[in-house]
Formats: sequence, structure tokens, C-alpha cells
Amino acid sequence: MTMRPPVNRSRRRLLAAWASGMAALPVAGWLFPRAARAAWPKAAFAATTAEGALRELFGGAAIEPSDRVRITLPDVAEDGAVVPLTIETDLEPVRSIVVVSEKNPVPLIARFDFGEDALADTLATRIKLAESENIIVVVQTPERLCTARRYVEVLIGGCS
Amino acid sequence: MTDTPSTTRVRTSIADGICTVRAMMRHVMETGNRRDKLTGALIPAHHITEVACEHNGRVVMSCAWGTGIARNPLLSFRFRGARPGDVLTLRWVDNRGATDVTHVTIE
Repeated sequence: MTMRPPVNRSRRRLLAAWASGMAALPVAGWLFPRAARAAWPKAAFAATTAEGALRELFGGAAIEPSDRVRITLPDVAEDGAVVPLTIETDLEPVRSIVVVSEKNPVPLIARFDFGEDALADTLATRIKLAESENIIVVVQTPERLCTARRYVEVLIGGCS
Repeated sequence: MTDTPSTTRVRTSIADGICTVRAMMRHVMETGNRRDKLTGALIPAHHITEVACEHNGRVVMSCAWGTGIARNPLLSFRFRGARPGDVLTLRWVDNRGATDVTHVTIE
């Protein structure tokens, strides 16, 4: 026969109180709505090269260089941990914009998906760069994939 | 609508029916490659994975992010059809399941 440890009643009461408290929170408003998100592209984020990430996202579809995609990045980034990035395009409508790095440990940096009312003409964020490398931007419209790239010299890497 | 307590700061401005959104989120965005200076142990990856921005309940823009977005992420974009008084909601979720929801009234 095995001996069971005595039941810790105060702990049970505490757990019950916690559980009922949680139930009282307006949980629904805090949950991330499924419908609000396209699935997080796990395989593309796991890719170890920029080409691999793009292949995961777009299959083998042709990606054409275009001067209608403009990338603003500093020529020299002193701190690779915080590099301001602005993407501009006059392509319309835009379904998504993908940002990939040539040499970061995780090459895929971000995918931005646009709804009907969104204007993809100007998008800005801040990214991390591991070392001096190219940043590749792909703009996806219903018909095609357009790309541009820009080289940034990085003085202090921002991914370690 | 009352503003939800949140660590995200959202600024909006409207011109000709086009709303410019500028959001600053608070998050460590750990890459998983950094080591604790004292112990030498790897600090696990901890980053926002998804962001969604809703205008009057409709998603206008959403993001899938990895570790390459800088700490305390900044996001700026534009969308059509906004009027003063409309509600803009910005949500994020991270790789540990933590979420943040911010409601702002467009001015």
C-alpha cells in the first residue's frame, strides 16, 4: 500500500479562487482572434537562407526586380540592433510585403499582410542586422512578385 | 470605448480620409542567441510573432514577425476610410502566448 501525502487544503482553496478569478476576467476580449491572422509561416522562419525563406513563402514563383519598390535604410548602421527601415511602393493593390535578410541567423524578418483598406505605399519599422548584408524586400500583388534589395554596412552586429 | 491598459502606444493622424498609424510596442524581442553576461547561459528567444491592426473591427493590416524586428517594435503604416471617432485596435501575441490589446479613438 502506498502512502499518500496529506491533502494541502489551503493550496486547493487558493487554486480554486484563482481559477474562478480567471473565469471572471473578460477573456474573450483578450484572446487573439483566429480570423485576424494569416497563419504564422513557421517553415519560412525556420529557413536558414534568404532564398529558402522566399521559397517557403512563394513556392517557385518568379520574383522580378522592380524600381517600384523603394527601400530606405542607412548606408551605415552603427548599431545593428536597431536599424530603421522604410518601404515605399506605388504598386496596388498589395497583398503582402516580405522582408528578408541575407545573413541574419533567422533570415526572414517579417511578413506584413494588407487588407482591402490598407495602403501599402509607406511602411516603417526597425529591424536587427547581424552583420553587413543585403536586405531584400518582396512586394506581392495579386498578379506578381516585385523585389528590391539594399546593402547596409553594419558596425556592431545586432543579433547576438 | 474606454482605453484598455496596455504597454503599446498608438498615435494616429488623418488627412484626406487616409489614416497614418504609428505604434510603439514594448517587448524585449530576444533572439535566442544572446548569452547572460553573468552565467553564460543562452537567453531563450522571446519575441512577438503576430500583430493585427483593426479599424472598426475589420483587420486592415497584420504582421508575422520573427526575431529580426528590433526591441520595442515600431510599426507605421497607412489605411483608407478612417474618420475621426473611429476605433483602432492593435493586438499582438508573442511566442510564449502573452497578448496585448490596445484600443484608440482616431483623432
